[in-house]
Amino acid sequence: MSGVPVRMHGLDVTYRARDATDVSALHAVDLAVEAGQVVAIVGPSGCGKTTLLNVLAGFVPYRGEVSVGDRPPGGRRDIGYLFQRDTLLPWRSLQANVGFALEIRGVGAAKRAAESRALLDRLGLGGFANAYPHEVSGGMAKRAALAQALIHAPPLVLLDEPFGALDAFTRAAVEQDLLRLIEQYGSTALFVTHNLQEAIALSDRVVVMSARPGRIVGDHAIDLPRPRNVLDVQYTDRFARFEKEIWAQLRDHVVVR
Amino acid sequence: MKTPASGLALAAGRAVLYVGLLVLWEILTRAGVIDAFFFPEPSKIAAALGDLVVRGDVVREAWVTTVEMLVGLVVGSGAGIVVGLILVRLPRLERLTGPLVYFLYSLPRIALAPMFVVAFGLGIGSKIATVIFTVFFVLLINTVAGARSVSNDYVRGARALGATDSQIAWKVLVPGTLAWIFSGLRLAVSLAFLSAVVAEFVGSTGGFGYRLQIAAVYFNTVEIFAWLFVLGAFAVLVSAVVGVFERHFLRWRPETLR
Repeated sequence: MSGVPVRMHGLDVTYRARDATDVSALHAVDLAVEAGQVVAIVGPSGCGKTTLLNVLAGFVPYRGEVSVGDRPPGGRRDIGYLFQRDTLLPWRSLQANVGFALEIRGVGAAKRAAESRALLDRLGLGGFANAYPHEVSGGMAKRAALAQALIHAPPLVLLDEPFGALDAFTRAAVEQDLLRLIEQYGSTALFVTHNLQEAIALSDRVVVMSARPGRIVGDHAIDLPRPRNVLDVQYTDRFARFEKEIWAQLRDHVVVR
Repeated sequence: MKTPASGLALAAGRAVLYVGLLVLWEILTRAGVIDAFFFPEPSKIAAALGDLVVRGDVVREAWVTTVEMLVGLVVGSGAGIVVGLILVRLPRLERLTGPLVYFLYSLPRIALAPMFVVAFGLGIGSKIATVIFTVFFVLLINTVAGARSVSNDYVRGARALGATDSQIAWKVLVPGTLAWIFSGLRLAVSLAFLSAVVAEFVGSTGGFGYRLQIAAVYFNTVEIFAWLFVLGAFAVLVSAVVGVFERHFLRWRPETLR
């Protein structure tokens, strides 16, 4: 399976706040992502980055034109969504958690076990297949969550600051795992982060959003070669240039006046 | 920490206490301090109990009460869980029916036993109906509360992976609610026992409650006590069975949450 193109045109999202006023979360967002492209979305907190992902997942109502592949979002979904907080089900072993997407699709138990086992092995978690989520470390749980979200080789991968809680070393290792998987699957990926280095290291494009209501104010192509090593790539001159260029733009929107 | 030695000491202490109490009871009754009519000697109760066991009465009445409890529990709890899940999915319906559910839940539901006996007769049907009615609301309310406690992240995660509504219900909400469902079931089991026996008092042709009632009508206090001991033993057994299930299904939980 390979990636799908994603298109948004004139996307508006408003939600009703508790005091019954309408708050505009996203306004007139235009974004086209090619199949297989990895796009990072950066911007001040509360600018609607997560809302953008949730629109693509079909979780929130919107106005405007949105398509994932050739269909609007929603209905039977074929996406991998990695959240800030883990969605590992605490009553399932890591292996049963990873096989969940396959189980939902009616894949037989034997094939499910073999595939989830293979993916866990690949991520270095083979010895913990029968452990429950509360029995493993944060980094291991995050890897298992990654496997859970990606085992069905989803054509669209959504990532909502999934690595925020990890220490720097674990983070780099899990990022590398993620990158290898989506490069292999050819998935399209949209990636929300607060970490500019992470954004540049992982993506083909970095999109900068403004404070609420979120609009797209910058779009930077990151033409670093693939496959990439997330750590090595950060010590290249071009990486530093990208970082400077994007930070200059981001600063105007992030820094508190 | 519990060491084997202190465990043994505890068991010995318990044995001394309980045997001592029985012996004290026997002595006080024989000495005439306690009225033997209302509190017959434990030795007489034990003899009556032995008789009931040998004649097969205990097994026969236990069977009747067990069937009433089990059928009532399975149907009442099952329905309570399913309706609970439906109400979680349809918050508007839940708000609409909320006061009625609360009214019926607050009612001393056993009070409806006479009505069920009138409606369904002296057979086990009226007892099953009483058990279903008492148990249903406990599971309904626990399921709704439990499903609310399941992190919304799990539901969104499953939805993102492509789970349908019924898959979310059975693979996320039910297992996530299992701890609540189990605490509901624990309560339901003792309520089922209570309501089956009380409904048997009201009018029946068999079961523990029936025999207790008969013994009481004949002022046969020895047999009343014999049946009370049977009831107690039965309740302990049932609760042990629930415990086994609970440990099996909640094995995944961290110790602190158990």
